[in-house]
Amino acid sequence: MFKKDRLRKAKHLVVFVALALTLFITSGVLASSYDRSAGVAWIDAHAHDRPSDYPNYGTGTGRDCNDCTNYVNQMLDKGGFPQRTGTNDNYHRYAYKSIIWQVSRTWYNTANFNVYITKYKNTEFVYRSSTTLLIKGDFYLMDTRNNIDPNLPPDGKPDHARAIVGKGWTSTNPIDYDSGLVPPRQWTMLASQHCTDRWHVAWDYNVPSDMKRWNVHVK
Amino acid sequence: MTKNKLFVFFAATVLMIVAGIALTMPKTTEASPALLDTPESMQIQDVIRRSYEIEAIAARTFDTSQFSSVFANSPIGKLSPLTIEFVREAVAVNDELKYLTTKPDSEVGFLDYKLAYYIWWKKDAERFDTLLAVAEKENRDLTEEEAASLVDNTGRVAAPRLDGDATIPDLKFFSVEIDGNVALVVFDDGPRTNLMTLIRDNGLWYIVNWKILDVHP
Repeated sequence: MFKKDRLRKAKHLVVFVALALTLFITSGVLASSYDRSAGVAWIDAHAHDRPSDYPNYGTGTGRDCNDCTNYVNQMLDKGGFPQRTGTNDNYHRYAYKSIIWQVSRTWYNTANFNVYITKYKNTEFVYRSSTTLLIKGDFYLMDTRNNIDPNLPPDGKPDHARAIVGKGWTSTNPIDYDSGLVPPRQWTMLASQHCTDRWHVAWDYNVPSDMKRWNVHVK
Repeated sequence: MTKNKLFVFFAATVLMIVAGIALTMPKTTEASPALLDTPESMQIQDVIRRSYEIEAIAARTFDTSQFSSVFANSPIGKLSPLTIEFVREAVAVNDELKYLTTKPDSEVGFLDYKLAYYIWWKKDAERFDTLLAVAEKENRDLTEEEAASLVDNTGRVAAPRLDGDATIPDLKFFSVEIDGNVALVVFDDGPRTNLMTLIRDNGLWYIVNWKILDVHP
């Protein structure tokens, strides 16, 4: 009788540990495995090129360049933030090559990526009330225009993404600025992005003071 | 014969002078030239600058009371079907915009669009703030249901209000073409090159449409 009780207790303990482990695996691991420095090192090296490790959604600037969200996702990926393969809906996020590139819309489309973020909010991502609360390896999204017709004014959905690379001195390279006009060098929070390709510009460079933003902290 | 030669020489000289004057004279069109430094052009540029200032404040306070001083509804700035759809979606989920429900599409204008954008954002931001405040008070993250409630049925995700100082971007004006009571302005605000249409009403200029010519954020 006494032995049976101990056996039952042991079984309960095993179930409890298994459950706790499952919970840990499905939430904590994703977050804790993110190596911000590795992610930022990758995008630092590729602010002005398109590495073959990932798909390419355009170069230069303007409407045919749509690589900004892909660039941010490369940061997450190289930082060890796991992809989530599966169906191409707002619950999955992936980019891998199997003869041709298999890429989810959440990987390259900013608005879909934002909805993905809400699906894993708190376990993997946290919205911050201010862009200045973000840290190295985080990112923010912006609503610059209408997502369906780029000629039209903003529609409340994000269409551009910028990666936060930490604090430091702003770039003095004319290639990072419009018309090559380098603003005075300053120590501030820095951002890098694709389309237009920029490396280590002030986080608010070229961001009007009224532009709607979603500030995303990666857990 | 000499008389004839003299006449031909005289006629040719006159023709050349007339042609020369015609070629060197500036071409005139119905619209006034795209000058940036005339008093009227300066007034128009000020209205656009002020619109950025008013919007930057609204993005922090959601005070839209000044919008009608720079934006207006006008058939001259006819909105695209997509922008009208945006306004309609905002109206459907926001009581504050109910007055627009009976307005026909042909009358929905740029001021309506701007109000819809900010009133929608306000509703989202307030929900965002409330949920975050409760979670912080209870020292927890948002629940799944709370997080899900940040996305509405149009796929839009709530965004917080902006913080920090409201500043006016360094607008670079390329041209201001005035044709009677209508002006077309091309300028750059940093991430975008824009074409704005303005109308003059009772001596004041109002923005009635906005087309984005290029994006370079």
